[in-house]
Amino acid sequence: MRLPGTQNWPDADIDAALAFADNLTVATTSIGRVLAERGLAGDAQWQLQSRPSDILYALGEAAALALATGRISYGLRIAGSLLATIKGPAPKLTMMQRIFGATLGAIAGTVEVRFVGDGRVMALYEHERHFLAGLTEHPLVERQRLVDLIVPAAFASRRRLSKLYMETGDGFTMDQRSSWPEGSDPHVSFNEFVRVWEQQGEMTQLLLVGRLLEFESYIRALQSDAVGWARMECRGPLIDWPLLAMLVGMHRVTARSPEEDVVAGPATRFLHDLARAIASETPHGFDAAE
Amino acid sequence: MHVNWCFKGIAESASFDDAMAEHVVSQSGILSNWMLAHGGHALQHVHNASQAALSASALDDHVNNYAAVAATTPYISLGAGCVEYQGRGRPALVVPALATALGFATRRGRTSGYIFRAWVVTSPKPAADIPGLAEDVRDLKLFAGFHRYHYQGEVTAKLYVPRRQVQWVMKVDNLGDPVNAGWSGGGCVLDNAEFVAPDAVSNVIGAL
Repeated sequence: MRLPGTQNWPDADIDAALAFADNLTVATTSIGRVLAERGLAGDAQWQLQSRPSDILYALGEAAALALATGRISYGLRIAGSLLATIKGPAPKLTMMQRIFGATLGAIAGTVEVRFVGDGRVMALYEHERHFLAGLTEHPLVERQRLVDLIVPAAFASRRRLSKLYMETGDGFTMDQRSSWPEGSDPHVSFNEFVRVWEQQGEMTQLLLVGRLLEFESYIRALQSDAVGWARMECRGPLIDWPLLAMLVGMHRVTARSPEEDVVAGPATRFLHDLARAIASETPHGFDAAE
Repeated sequence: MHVNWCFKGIAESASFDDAMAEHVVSQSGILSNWMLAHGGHALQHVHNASQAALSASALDDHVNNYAAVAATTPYISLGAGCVEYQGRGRPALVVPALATALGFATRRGRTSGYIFRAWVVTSPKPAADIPGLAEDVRDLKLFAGFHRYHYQGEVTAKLYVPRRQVQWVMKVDNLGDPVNAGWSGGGCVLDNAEFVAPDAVSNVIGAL
């Protein structure tokens, strides 16, 4: 199973790129250490640039490359280990990096994301709870954006998100909740998808259609750079991680036949198939019931 | 003017080995392919032509159509990192310069290579035809037409980067790990003894 258009990429080049990306944290740390020993580490700017935490996104791209080229186990191994950085020494991850790592971990089944009281969002990773975000620390508009970034990770973790809406002390008033945008905007559809499912018991894939169309056109845009695409040089990751998390979560909750999938083209067909394969390969032990 | 620290990744090849990397640091500086193509000419004969090779369209070709001008481009791609816009409602993506340079140096895991660290002076406005200044082409306020390769975080030097602005070169294996080289003194990093730090041209003036 490969993302359409990647079939001509040589296996040797893919394997080399994955090995390189997998080693990037080690390599940049080693380079920094060598330069420090030689007294060449220099100014603060260099220190900032060499922070291993920035490599998180490169690892995410490597995981995407692996999943897009049929190396599912390898991709899940990278995706599932990103949050290991959260346990490392300073500098710590930024909030966005934590959410990014948690989303990939939730897909891989190594991370469980939970909304807890007082608007706090936690990630359970290797039997320890790690702080992801504090929603009440942000203004309403920012909260809405954060919720939609976090919902896919929580949904893929098979957590019922009704706590987000129902639990007292979660940082949201009823007015705030009802003011969240409805409907077809691709950037708020995750939240709405989960809410409809939890309140009506239906998974309405049409609520994801905006994001599915967006992914299809995004892959087409990457492929329109024929020279870059042939060289495996893409401007962005080959996977829409939040969208994949939603699809994985959907297949973890209930088995659905491919005929039921809402498909916008070959790329979204691939993403559905990939989500189904991941859901079957990562039957994590999290309990869906609260 | 701004001073930008940059990285340059060059893959090891038959034409670029340890000796060549040492030559860059100790003698030539980082040369553009235009300079290399005119290497047999006396300086007084080429300095006019080299300046004539610099233009907004030549810079456009260098960034957006590199394959067509690779052999003769007067520009040099350096990397300073960037922040990629990911779309409305999504967090911006930090693309560190070192990771990008390692990708170029190793051809993404396929070969060993070299990482150079250098500084250049960039103009806050486009000045594609002015030698001596680099262009901050990753700044989309200045170069909106260069968005296609924005993720590479490119700063473009012109004709050559003087060796006094090249701080060091490091050899890395195909996975990006430092590895010992065969240059003078050995080791994985070659420090430029004649390097001049950018503080020399900063606008911080000491008291008399």
